[in-house]
Amino acid sequence: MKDFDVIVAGGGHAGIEASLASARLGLKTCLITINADNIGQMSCNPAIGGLAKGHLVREIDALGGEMGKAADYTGIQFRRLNTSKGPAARATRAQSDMYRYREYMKSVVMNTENLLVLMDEVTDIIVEADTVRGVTTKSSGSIYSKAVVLTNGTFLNGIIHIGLQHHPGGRLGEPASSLSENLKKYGLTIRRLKTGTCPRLKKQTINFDVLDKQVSDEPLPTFSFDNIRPPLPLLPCFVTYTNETTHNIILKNLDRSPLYTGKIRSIGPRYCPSIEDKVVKFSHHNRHQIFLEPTGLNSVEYYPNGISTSLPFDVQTEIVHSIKGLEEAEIIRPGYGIEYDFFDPTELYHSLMSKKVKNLFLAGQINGTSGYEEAAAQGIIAGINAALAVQNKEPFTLSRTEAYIGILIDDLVTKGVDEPYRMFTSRAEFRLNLREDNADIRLTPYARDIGLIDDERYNRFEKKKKDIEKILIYLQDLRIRAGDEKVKASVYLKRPEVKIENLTAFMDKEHREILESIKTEVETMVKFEGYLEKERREIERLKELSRIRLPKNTDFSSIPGISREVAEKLKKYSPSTLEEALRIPGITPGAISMLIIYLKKERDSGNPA
Amino acid sequence: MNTNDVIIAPASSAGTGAISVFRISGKNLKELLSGLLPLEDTEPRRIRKFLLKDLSGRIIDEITFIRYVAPASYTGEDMVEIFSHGGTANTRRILEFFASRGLRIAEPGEFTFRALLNGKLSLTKAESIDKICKSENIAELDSALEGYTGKTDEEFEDLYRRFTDLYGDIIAEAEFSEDETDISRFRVRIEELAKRVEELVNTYERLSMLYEGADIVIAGKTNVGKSSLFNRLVGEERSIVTEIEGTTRDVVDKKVYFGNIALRFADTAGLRESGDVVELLGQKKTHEEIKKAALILYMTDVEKTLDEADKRIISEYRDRIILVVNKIDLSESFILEGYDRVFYISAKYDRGTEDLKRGIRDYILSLADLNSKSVLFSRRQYNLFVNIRTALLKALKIIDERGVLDIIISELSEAKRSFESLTGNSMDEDIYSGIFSRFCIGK
Repeated sequence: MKDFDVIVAGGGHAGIEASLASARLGLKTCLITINADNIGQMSCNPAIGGLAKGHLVREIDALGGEMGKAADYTGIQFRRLNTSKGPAARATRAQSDMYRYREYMKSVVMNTENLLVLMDEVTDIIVEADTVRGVTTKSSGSIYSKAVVLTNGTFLNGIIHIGLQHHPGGRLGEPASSLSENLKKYGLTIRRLKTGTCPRLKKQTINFDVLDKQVSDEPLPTFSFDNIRPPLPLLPCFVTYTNETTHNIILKNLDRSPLYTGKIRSIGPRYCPSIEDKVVKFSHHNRHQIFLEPTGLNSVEYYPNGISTSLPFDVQTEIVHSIKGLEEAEIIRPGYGIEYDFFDPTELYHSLMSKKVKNLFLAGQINGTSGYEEAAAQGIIAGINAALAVQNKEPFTLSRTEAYIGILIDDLVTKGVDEPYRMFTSRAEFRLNLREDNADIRLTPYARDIGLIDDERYNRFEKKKKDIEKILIYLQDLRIRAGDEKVKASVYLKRPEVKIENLTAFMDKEHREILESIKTEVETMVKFEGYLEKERREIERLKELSRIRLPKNTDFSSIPGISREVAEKLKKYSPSTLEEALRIPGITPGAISMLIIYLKKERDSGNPA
Repeated sequence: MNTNDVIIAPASSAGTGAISVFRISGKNLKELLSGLLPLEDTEPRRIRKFLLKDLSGRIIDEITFIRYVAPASYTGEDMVEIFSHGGTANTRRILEFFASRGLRIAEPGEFTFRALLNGKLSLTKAESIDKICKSENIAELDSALEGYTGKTDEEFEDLYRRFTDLYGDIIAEAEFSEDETDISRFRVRIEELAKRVEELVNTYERLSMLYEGADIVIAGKTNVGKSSLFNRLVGEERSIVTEIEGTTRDVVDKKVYFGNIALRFADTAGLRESGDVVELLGQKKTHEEIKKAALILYMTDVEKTLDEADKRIISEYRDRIILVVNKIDLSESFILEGYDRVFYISAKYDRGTEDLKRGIRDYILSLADLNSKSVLFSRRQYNLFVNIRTALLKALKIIDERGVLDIIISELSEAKRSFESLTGNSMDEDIYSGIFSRFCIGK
């Protein structure tokens, strides 16, 4: 086989974005996947976006990624969440036809120039002089490349638990990979996590008539800057609840739960507990909500979101049958728990390149995250940086103050993970400036510089920016009669009860038309101007310290005035800037001062810092 | 740490020196100080005299100041050094005045930190930075308060937990609930928390008397021996003692230590009806001093009976008055009936003054409410709690104005940052573990 610039191992949400970014930047890219038909498979529930995750999707889209478009094209229910809670919490979520989603992704990947898809399994990487040179595969031998991106998801030493039975596997019905064992020898630290998924139910056996229906919001909220009109017919979701009977069944069978008998030792996500955990830990709740989500237009499977479980199949059946509307429901696939290897993400740089092996990048669930969106976000960054590394260019990183992607990666590489990591808007220090509606404004210019945004899209982006400017100025000038007084429209809009729609009647036709597509942006920018400005000032301050870089391999214990405790912390987190150092728990301004002295000393004595 | 705002701190040591020195540093210093100091038309590095006034035009102090223009300054930023009259009260007032105008009171070592950032310090100078940082803590306060604050941790932890829970609940509302929110249901908890923080701030203010000096005013009719007592209490001849009534026309004050607590005594012009304009001014001042004093030593002597004016003052300030009957050398058998805190002394022959000193000390200690659980040790911590209080009150205002959840979070995250600055640790894990233990989060 010929040589590649970049090899991506894994065809999940991270692998797709990584390989597309790399190929679109003109690098010869090979995506190696165990099953070429499962590219873009949704292993868990059939939804994209949601709280904080919608933000990630918009950011991926702004960087030229594919996830937002795929969700728009294959969505069958669209909702805008948290509309009344403020500009930061608002988020878009789409239920996808998961089969069409997969089809769409496979087609995009297969039809991308410079991108070859190879169905094989990566068994090891080839390393020479601490630099990755390629991979070895099960069937196609050694394949050489200048950079490798690993995006193996839950497949590394995956063990699937259903009741007290367990077997190796990456997803139900798909084999696990033993790649991680082979990576140990390069110094990568392996740890283990656990997650789980719900059983799937047969549509014809569900009694939808007795259940509450949840339909799409109008107009349909979408993700991509490309203004895609969702082409598929829409389907509703349904809501039902567990009850005391359900809970008794679960409690009675805990001795057959791998979670409660010690079979599963790894830590699962606290924000997405199994139904066993919910019933045990929240015994005062007499019911738990379940969303019945369609998995596709032509699919007969429904996903009962909320009853993730690893109890035995017969107990799962009993649980399902105790729930309203599901009395007769048949399980097509059982729910299961899965334990898998992940690599300690503190051994990565912000570019997602390994600190141990040069030009080896890791992205997605193997870094300890959970969720399609978190995986895809890392994927696109790893793909971009693999391409940049091959071209000997500076890595591309995003800071905490400009993107949730920046927060995600910064949290991973500086703090590490103890449970599967999921994005929350509250992880952001400056959440008002990190909104879904301005993801394009925040990130498109970067992607344009990198080369992932074409002229057509960039022109549209520029026009949008100008339109926003124009309307903001217009609203400054426009006077409105409010009661007895005349006030500026921009002032009037700041009143809590006033919405942008209240202004359109006063606007001329030209501006009204311009406003139509940028309502949310303009409303937010005017309404929350003071708060946004306050955050921005704070952001500027932080930037200052982030400009001062700490050299790699600094021996902190040799720096005078730094206590052993502080040195150990610095060593553990190896911050790359002073701003990062300051955010490490227990690091004081005094210690930062000592670091500055050290940096000056190094520079003065001629050692490049 | 923030390196972009304007910071201020006293550069001279706390106490009763003749002069207090303040340093102000920051990039936007000119903008922030406009209207307060005439920086525009002041030549750099030249001393200039100036009447510092507050916004209503009232004089705060006559000062001199020097303007430094970046990079030629200690920190390498634009700087101003102010030389004011000394004294704890004055120093505090000037500091608080600038803080109220948007200047931030510097963290320990922060000027040096900025000097380092801007490459202004030589290596040898800078290597002692760690020590500097530590010694700039208000050690005096720490030791003074040490014995009195046993329950600190417990109280702080309770407050920290309440805030973390509240913040977590509000975050969970934004983050994990798809339902619409009624934010007003958080109102009571925020208000309660604000009240608790308010109490802490007040407690600190009371306790801070112990090291910054509680204001004690000696007042009474003319010629009852106020100046003699003042001199006895402060241990030197500061007030002029004569046989002529009304000699002390202005307020004379002095800070002294009784054991480990600081007291600031003020001798005042005697209270009487008088046509003398100067004396009337002095009397007006006396009334002002009485109003703000922590304790009033109201004097009379064995030769006078308390008239209506005396009684009016005594009853108006009865919870913070000690009655002092002077000149017992003239009549041993004089007893003042119907009052609680009465001390009989002879200032002239130094009789009974030790008992009085003990009485004063006990009273101030009881005021400082040593059983109250203060969690604040320093002015830095105090300021952080003031920030927390401000943020909580703003959050309440937003709720009342029917603002959105995100803005409340924005305000509360200011409080969160202050809490984090207090503990030196990120609060996030505490918040999330709280959320995940209280809420069953599913979808």
